[in-house]
Amino acid sequence: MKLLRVDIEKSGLLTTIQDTGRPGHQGIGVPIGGPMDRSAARRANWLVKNPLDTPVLECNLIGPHLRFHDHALVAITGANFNPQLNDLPMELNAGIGVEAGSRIALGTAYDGARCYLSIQGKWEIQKWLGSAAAALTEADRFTPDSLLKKGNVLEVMVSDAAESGRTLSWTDEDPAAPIRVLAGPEMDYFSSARVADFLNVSHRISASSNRMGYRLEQTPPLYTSREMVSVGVCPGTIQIPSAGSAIVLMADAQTSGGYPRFGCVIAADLDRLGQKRPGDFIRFELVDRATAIDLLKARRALEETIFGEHDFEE
Amino acid sequence: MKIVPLGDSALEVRLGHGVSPEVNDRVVRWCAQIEDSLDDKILYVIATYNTLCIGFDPLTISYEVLKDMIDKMPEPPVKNHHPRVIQVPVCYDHCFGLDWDRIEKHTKQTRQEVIAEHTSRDFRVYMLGFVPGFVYLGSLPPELQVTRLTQPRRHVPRGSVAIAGWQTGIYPSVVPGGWNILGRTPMPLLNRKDFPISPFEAGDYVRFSEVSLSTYSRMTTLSSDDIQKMLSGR
Repeated sequence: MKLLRVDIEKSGLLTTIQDTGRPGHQGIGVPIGGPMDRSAARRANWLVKNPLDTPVLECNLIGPHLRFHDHALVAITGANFNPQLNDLPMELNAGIGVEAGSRIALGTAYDGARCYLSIQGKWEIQKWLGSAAAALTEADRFTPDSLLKKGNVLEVMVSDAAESGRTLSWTDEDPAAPIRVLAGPEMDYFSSARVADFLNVSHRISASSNRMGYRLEQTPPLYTSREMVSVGVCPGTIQIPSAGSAIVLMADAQTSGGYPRFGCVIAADLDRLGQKRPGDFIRFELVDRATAIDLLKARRALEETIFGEHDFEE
Repeated sequence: MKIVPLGDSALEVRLGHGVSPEVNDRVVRWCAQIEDSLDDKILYVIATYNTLCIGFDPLTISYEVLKDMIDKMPEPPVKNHHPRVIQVPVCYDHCFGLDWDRIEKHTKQTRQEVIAEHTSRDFRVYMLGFVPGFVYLGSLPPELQVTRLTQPRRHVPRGSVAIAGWQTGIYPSVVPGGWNILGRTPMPLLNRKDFPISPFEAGDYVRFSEVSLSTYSRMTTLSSDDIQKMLSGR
């Protein structure tokens, strides 16, 4: 084993390290965190034969430039950032051997918002509450390695032997398909005509959206005079603040909020929503719980056909 | 008790209405019971004023099965123990209390009168949330109630002690916020390595204690336990 060093020559626009996050600590207000597109992060690790919960880089809209001081096995999944390996186009969805001294440069995302870069090996990285996922409210104190800055160095313990990666043929779900939602606990605060209006239009994702949540624009206003005290919320919860334009909570969702919860995006559609970018339009479709569970089962089954037959050495 | 789904991966247990120590005590009791007995079946529990939000993997346990398990649980017994009172030192100096002008104007009280009120009662920790380690405390007397800032600050300094409506709270990290800032505590509010991560739990009580600027400075290197000892010895 030896220590691979990767220099961050350019940080990109909010490049973070993500793993499975911090489920279990929401009682003290800690976001669950983790990749906005969890499936893409798992695929990236599978391609380089890592355990699927190994940290990965999550690149957001504009990607980083990385210099590898030693050979490495690297894969990129998710949105296409026009990655270049030593100034030549780099294949997506494949574990690629990278020679010592190589440079991987990611450009601007053009068919989604986020891509995931995996490196084979054990990432030497400071964790908080068992996770390396960037804790963005306290990044400097708790996860200083996980919010990439120019000049940072990533360190990964890698094996001496050059290994070959896997490849994967992957087709994303139709990006124009509606995002499916379940009725939220407070949907009945709004008249059925208003609910129908909300479901019948396309909503534009505002520029002030981030990993905590997407703000939606051009939403027909939803007003309610009913007041409530703070209740629990989670990734996927659609809140209607008093100003009337909706917020969809995402991977770094806060744990509580005092706004009516109009709906909840189904778990099976969160990864697809996580690839939406400011300016994109989305539509919602109301489904029932049985449908939501069937869709989630189908997604997990698809992943299992890819990952299932393989062993992952820790 | 009423249980409703929150999407396909969480459910909400409703344990009462409004905000009161009695309802919130029930939330704390149910939270402990559910964390103890369902630990291996659920992902997380968020306790709020009058609800629990429970996260789970719907392909591991269904909403219906989990709801049924909770429905069949007995009401956890009321424990007659005295709640913990945690002393929180606050320096109310103008250099930390960024909103004194506004607070004095809205309450029609002097800074000294407001400090006397703020340090003369035990506030209940109703819940943690918003950001890691933020504590929601209540309740302020009507004469101390000030509405939120119309334009929230982009960066509230770490340790700020603030009031909004009937609530008072402590900001553990630098985040945006719209509460009126009275002062700042030197107490560590979020641990990086040691458990518990936060010194507070729902059901605790907080007693604010005024300290001078020089005491504030001396306390910035102390643990919350050492601060408790120092303030108890006063």
